[in-house]
Amino acid sequence: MKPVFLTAKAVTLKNRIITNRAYPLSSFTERVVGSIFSIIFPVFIYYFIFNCHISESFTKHANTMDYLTYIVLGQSVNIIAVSTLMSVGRCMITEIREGTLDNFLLSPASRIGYFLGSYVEQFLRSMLEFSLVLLVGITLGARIPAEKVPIIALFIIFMSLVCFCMAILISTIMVFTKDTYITQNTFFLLIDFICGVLFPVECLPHWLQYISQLMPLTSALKAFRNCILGNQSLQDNWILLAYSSIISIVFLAIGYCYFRKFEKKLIENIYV
Amino acid sequence: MIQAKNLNKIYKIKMKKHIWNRSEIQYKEAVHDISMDIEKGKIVGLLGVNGAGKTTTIKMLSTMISPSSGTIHVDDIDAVKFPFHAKKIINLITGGERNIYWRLSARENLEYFGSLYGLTKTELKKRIDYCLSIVNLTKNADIPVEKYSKGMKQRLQIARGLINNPSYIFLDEPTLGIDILMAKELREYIKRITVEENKGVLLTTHYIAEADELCNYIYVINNGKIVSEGTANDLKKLYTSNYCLNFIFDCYNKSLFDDIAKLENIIKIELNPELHSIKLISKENLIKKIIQLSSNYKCNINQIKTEDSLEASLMQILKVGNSHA
Ligand SMILES: Nc1ncnc2c1ncn2[C@@H]1O[C@H](COP(=O)(O)OP(=O)(O)OP(=O)(O)O)[C@@H](O)[C@H]1O
Ligand SMILES: [Mg+2]
Repeated sequence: MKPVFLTAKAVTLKNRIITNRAYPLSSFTERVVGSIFSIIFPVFIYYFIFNCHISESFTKHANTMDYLTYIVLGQSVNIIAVSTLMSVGRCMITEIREGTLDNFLLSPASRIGYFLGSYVEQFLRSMLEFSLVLLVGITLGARIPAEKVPIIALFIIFMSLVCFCMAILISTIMVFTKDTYITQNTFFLLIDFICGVLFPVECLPHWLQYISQLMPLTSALKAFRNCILGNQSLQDNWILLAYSSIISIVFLAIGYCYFRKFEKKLIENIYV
Repeated sequence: MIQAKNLNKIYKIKMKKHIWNRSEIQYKEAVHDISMDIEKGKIVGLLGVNGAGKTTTIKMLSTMISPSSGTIHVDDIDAVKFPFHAKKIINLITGGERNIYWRLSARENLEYFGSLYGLTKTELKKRIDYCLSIVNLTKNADIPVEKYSKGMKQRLQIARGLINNPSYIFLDEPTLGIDILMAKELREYIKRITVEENKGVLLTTHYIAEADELCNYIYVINNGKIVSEGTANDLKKLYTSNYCLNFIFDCYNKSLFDDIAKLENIIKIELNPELHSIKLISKENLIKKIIQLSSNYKCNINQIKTEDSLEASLMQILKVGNSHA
């Protein structure tokens, strides 16, 4: 087996055992409950406060009248992002705090293999979380036609990879600033408000729209909704998808290269 | 062979008094112009007080941190430029209990660390069984590490450091927290693999006897500089102007003991009436005088031991070093 995959496999196994022994269900439950509420709140507001009225500008920008499905799609992508960022993004800094990273850095193991391993370990979990949120959404009245399932599956894998790329940059930021709280919450805030999870990006002030284009999730999410809500095909959205891929690769490259370049400084700065 | 030339390490420490102040940068020279060789088949010791720069030196040699200047060659590999080539044939064992996964068992830990070195499944299994047997953990291999005692965790660290069958092993206080029996076994093991498997070993320790027993060559560092080097015997000869003597008599004679205690040039003396023994450190060789005295009192000497103490000479080296600084 190639060293990258050997490392990835080892990291997956290790993380799996630790997760299973340490907190088998709590974080999973916490996130699922949290995201179900995050659907229920806007939906209730929509039903009971706005009485199912949506503004014209929303309809114009979102290309749909169906706010419920719109938000269910947004939140289900959001949960993949949160799940991936929390696992892959925090994996390394957690190890630094527990004092277990030194031996990894001592070894010649593939660094990208490490990130891949932690990604694979949480992949199924985040898929499960996604499906649960989607099912709750459908129960609440979101309209998702059965024939769209394959395309949803494709999109979800794509989104998950996009989040992986973001997670590597976030991991590097966390590791070198020794901060998790601010970094993580800044990213969650950005994803919630400027990537178009709850409302179309076009409703934002202009300058924020530019920033939102710097997040790879924005265009991916837009393409996703176009295909599910707007009955477009993948081919119709290839520009959005290509754009999202390029930005993702830029995130990945910056995160990974910076990490490799200053890897040795890391041990110097964690003075134990 | 590992060759380190003119290693320097300057740490940058950022200090912030208050969150709104700009951080003040301080520089700390932890290692200054250290050169050393580690040959295969030899154990090299690195001695010095706390904060002397031992760990910093070891971390540079093991490619964990980069030197501020200087070169390191591991078997002709430039370890500063190509650390990933060097990493394959070295390993580092440190004292302490962190550094391993407490929720995993010993075997799971070793499986993980072994895979990081690219070992395949069958190689890994063989190597793990071997490493576990060396540190005597085979029986407890499948218990989570959190249930281990401190010494068992330390032994697992040692097994981990051997997992890739390294050509060069760095040991940073490896016997910290290990009981005397295990420590003895470990020292024997280190000696054995050094000779039989032709490995190069660099060892730091605060147990001087350990260094004396194991090391073929010793570097003494203080304030980041090498202040003395040589074999243990060289160091003892160079710096010990003191004599360390041990007498056991066949009976206890108070006036004899009193007379001996009154001899000149004694630095330190321990009298033990129950064992009829005297232990003393003196500036002059007192054997003749003591034999003379004891025959005066018609008291037989059962045993005389003379010792050069590495500890005594180290004290002296460090004192000299500090007075220069
Ligand atoms: N990461 C770091 N950042 C700043 N200063 C450091 C760092 N690591 C070590 N130092 C400083 O460098 C000096 C040498 O430290 P080092 O850990 O090498 O000592 P040592 O010889 O291993 O001591 P000990 O016997 O206590 O283990 C010390 O003064 C220490 O404060
Ligand atoms: Mg040290």
